[in-house]
Amino acid sequence: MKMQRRFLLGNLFLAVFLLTGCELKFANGATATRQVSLDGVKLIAADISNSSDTTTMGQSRYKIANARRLLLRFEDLSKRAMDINVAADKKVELHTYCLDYPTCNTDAVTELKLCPVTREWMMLATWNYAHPFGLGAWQHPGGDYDEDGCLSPISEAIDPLATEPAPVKFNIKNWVVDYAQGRKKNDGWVLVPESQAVFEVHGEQSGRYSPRLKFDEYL
Amino acid sequence: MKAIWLTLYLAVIIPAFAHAGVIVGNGDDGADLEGAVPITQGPILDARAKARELVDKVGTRGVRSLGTLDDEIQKSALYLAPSDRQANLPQDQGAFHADMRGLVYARTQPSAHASTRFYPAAQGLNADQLVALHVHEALHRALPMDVREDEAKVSELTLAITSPGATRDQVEQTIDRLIPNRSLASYDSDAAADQLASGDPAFGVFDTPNSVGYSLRGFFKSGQTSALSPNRMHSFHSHLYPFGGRRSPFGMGIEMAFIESTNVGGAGNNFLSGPLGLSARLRVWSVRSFDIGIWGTANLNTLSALEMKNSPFGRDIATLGISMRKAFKFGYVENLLSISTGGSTSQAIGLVDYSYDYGSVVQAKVRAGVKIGPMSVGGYGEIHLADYFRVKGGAFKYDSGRYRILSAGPEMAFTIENIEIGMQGRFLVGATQSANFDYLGNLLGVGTAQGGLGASASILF
Repeated sequence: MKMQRRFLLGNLFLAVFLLTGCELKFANGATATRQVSLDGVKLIAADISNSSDTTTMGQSRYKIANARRLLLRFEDLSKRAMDINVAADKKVELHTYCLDYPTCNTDAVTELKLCPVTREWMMLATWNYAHPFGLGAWQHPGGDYDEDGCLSPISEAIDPLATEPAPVKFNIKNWVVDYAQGRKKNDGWVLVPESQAVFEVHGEQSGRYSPRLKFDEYL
Repeated sequence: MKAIWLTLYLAVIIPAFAHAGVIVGNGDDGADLEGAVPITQGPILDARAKARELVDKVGTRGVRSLGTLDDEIQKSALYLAPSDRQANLPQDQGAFHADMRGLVYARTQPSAHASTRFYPAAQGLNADQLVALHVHEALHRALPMDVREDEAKVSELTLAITSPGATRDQVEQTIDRLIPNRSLASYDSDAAADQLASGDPAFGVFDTPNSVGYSLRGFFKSGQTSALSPNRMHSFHSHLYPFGGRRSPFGMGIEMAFIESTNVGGAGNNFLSGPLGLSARLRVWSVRSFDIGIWGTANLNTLSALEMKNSPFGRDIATLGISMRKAFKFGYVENLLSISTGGSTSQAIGLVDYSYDYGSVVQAKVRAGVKIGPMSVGGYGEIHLADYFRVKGGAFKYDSGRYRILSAGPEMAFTIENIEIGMQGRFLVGATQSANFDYLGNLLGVGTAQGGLGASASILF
């Protein structure tokens, strides 16, 4: 009996040792909140066929509307996806800033969607093509995306005393779990306004209000 | 003595002019082969030694087209036929071949180192006449192929060499008058045969291999799939062939290109420095109216670091190839086979850096066309077989895998004296992986996009 107890304790000690050694990072559990600016930002519009059109990238603001959509992606996300803490109490959000705060934020809740793109695209994407190589055409002009996975912004009360514009926030935790961590895919998102809506959002050249991801990352 | 030369001169010149253009040379009618004995002594053999002294004194070895005359006199085996023959063959009609009675003095064949058959009639000639006879028969073997059987020209050259006080200058002047410079090519009997086979007297000879010129190419951009392509390319070239002979010139070419693009280098219609092309070409040999040549090219990127960041075409390419060309009187067929090296380049688009990796490419091309006066009109078909084309940047990856591009197009050239105007088209016929010429990244070679049209003007010299 005594021998059996010693054997069990030994095994328990070994299991704890192995777990703490191999999964030190998770056992540690320390995380830090990160904000990373999206570097893959590309406007696609039905009336712009030139993939190198300079108004479709590298801008500080973009106007999106019917037949004008904004592709968004954090290009290096795949390297960091497994380090994102997706625990229930942690937020994983995509933030984008409108120019006409706070009206825009209110309208966005009902008239703006963030949809997961389901096809590889690059910065030469246009309304009709995800990229110019091989069979690079979108199956659906305007971008192929997962309709069921589209997100509406998180509805938040507008703070009347706020001096800084608040971002339009999208909860992308499920996307991180389903795509970035689950499928190891990072095709980004597309901002899709409702048919008659027009939004003007800050672009990646904006220092303070660029589109960005906010998440907790394991240290 | 003067009377003898005057008689000889008249005897030569009058029939020579009377039979100008008569083909003389191979005297074989079969019968005179019977019973000939080698000449081992006597005045005919003595005259050969004097003939050699004469050509040595005149210095024919250094005269164009006469370099082998001394050898032909020395090395030709001499035979004496047992009986005289009537000069009843067309080849016998020159004054040096027959006497006043119509008896043949000597016969030979118009090929190097052929033997010489003397007939008993020759034994009646004096020493000077025998010397002239040796020189004359040797000229039939030593001169370029397209003139060696022209009795009038051979007779006139015989006189120029054997006349009293003949000098090298006089002989050279006669050569210049009788044998155009072009006939130099006929020194090579294969080359002469090629000329006859092709019907082109200049076949295999490059009198004007050098050229300078300008060309303009416009590219077919088909919507989004040619997003990276420039719109037009201007290029200036200078090809000089200072080395090698006229049949196998070897030289170097330089081509400087400038590209116009709305996509490369930023906003607006940019005018950028394109690739610098360096090439070396060598005609290896010509045989049976085939030309075989090899060439190598290096297309070097000349874009600055900033420009290069914005162009997928800023890569270096080396190509090595072989060409086989068969020319006819009214046309040509040419096969070209080459291989180009792979390479890589990068492009910044927005905030994302993309790298383009190009695999090595094997190219096979068949050209064919017809020649109508100064114009040649034809076309070509070409296949490019490439290892891969890869694009990588941020989260985006594209790998075409192995692919082929099949293209064809017309080509036309119009040459007026030293000016050549050319036009060429290239159309993408088909490709796997939906590839186009952008995938090859060879701006100076095949161009870009879905093909293009080009025009060029060159000065040949």
